[in-house]
Amino acid sequence: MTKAYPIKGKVCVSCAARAERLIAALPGVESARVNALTKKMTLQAAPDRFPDLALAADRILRREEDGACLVIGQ
Amino acid sequence: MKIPLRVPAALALLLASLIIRGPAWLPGALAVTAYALSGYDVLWRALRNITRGRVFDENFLMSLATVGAIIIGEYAEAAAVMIFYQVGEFFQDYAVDRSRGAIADAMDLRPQSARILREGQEMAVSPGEARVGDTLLLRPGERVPLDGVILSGDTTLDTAALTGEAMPREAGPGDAILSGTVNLTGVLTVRVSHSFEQSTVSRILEMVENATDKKSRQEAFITRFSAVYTPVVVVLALLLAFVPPLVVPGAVLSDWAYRALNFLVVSCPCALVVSVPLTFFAGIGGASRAGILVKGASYLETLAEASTFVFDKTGTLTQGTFTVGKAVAAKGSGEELLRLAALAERHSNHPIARSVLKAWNQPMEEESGEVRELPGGGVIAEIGSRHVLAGNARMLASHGVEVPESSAHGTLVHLAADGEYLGYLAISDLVKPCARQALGKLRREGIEELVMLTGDTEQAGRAAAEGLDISQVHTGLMPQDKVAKVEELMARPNRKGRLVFAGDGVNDAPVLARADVGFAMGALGTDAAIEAADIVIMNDDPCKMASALRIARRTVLIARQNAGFAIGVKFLVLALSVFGLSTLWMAVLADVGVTVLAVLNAMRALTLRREDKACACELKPGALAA
Repeated sequence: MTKAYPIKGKVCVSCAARAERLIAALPGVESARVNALTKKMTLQAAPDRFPDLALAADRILRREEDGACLVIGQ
Repeated sequence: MKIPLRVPAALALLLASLIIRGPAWLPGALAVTAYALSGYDVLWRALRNITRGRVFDENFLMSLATVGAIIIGEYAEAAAVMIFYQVGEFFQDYAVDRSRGAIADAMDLRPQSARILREGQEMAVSPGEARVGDTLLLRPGERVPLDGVILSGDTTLDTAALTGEAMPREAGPGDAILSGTVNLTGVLTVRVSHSFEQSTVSRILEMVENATDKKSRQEAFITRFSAVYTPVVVVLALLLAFVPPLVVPGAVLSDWAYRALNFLVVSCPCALVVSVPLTFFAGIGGASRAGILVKGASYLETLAEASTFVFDKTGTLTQGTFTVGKAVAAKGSGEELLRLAALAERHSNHPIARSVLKAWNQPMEEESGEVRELPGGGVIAEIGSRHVLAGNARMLASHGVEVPESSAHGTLVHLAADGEYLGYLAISDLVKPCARQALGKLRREGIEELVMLTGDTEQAGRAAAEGLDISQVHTGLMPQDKVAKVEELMARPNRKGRLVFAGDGVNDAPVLARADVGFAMGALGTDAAIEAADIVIMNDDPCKMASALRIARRTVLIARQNAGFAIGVKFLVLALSVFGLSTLWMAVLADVGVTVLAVLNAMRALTLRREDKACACELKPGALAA
């Protein structure tokens, strides 16, 4: 299952690349893409892993880039 | 976005420190103040990130380089590095933001509101609130917010935003009207047929936005490269600073440390990491302005390497609108032949079947019984007590009906009843007015092999290929044969480039999927084609294939220029630094300069040649006919 989350705040492209590597390395993540140009993160994982993995990705993103975070809706 | 005031203030202080005369300590003090003013946030972030376990980010590297410069007494250069680093960062953010805006604007067809009629009341709602079945009101000059069907009013529509096509198109009651087009002349009422999320505009925007989610091979390379580049450069800098003073007699630590600081200044791969994906983003945005939707950056790369184009005939090179030219009866009347054919094919959606029904155009009293459709062959129907075959000669022959030779042009639908041959209908399809030019353009772009595949007879295929500059024609192919043929072409040992298949997307899904790149033509409004293809051409103008090819090649070229230029300049600075020929001033200006130039260069991919925006074919009746 693949889900996309908008990213709020400024994202520098090299921070995005680094965040992407770290998020892709999270256990349970099949693939991850942090797109600084469209300000969107795409996450592929098993459906039951979703809220947790999105939150973990958000933590990584916040650490890698000041003032950036994911918009995690319903 | 504004550059913080402290950066120009720091620059002023730095300049003052360079020209001012006074006590010996004054210039240094001014430079250090300039340094602190411009760089305190970078230093702070570097410290904080280290406590968070994040070393080797650009804050850290810049801090290390500048603190190093201060330690060896190069105050002015430390300040310069920090100031220009800040300017570079600012410019990079600004440019990425601007280009994102420019690309979004280029594609922004999203209407702000929709006026609908509910319970006799006219009200403005956001397009997302309108429901299927609502009645939409459109005045001249308004952009159509939702897909629908015209209930009343005649108008001309500007479809340029969707198709890149400049010529307006006529529409009247009963016609479908797509969101994103502009209602030019008439006052219309429209019944909403698709919700906002399902409407053409939303789907297009989503597709183009998602396109950059698939990394191009170049971007994947850059990501890998930069992951290695930074640590390697930092380690080299360490070695450069401390090894020569230990082993080379007479080498001074401060001299070699200074050279090493140059390494740190150019150790951030920023220009690379920004400019390559930005180029592809701009290329995809540019293509979408020409009515060419690219579903992933990597398809642009693959398309740029194309050497073979394979076309499906019907609907791609020909108009795909068939007319029954004549009915030649071997037994009985032509009219009876047409009536039987219409009965047999009445439930088929095949374009040929529809042309037969259109030609008959009379009520059909008799019900056809069981009907079996043989893809690539025809139909078998029980009509009254008769067992009717309608299809190509091969299908009839395989059911034991002997079909006499015929020299008629076009596609022939032969008929037989209860094993007895009745005659044929000759159905013709016109070559698109643009097809000839389109293939010529592909040739000029260096495409060596142009192949046409068709399920039609040899005669029909040859007739269509006549006057077109086609290298190979393969006729009489069933859908699975087309896949096999494409695989055969792809497996040729002497194949140089990639194979592109272009079809109308309706029956070609397997072939579209199998080819290196699949083009769906005239796909405006058809979901199946958008699903199956890699690149979607919104109108059905074959010229757009050459445009797509040019845009792809240009985008790839610009991305390569950017990567080559950025890597080249960095290595040049590294090489000069080793020999002590580079100063920190040079290093930081080179680094910032490369970023600026690469970003500006990337934006070139957004601009289109006039010819690619709308095709310059002499005439295009039918090119826009739905």
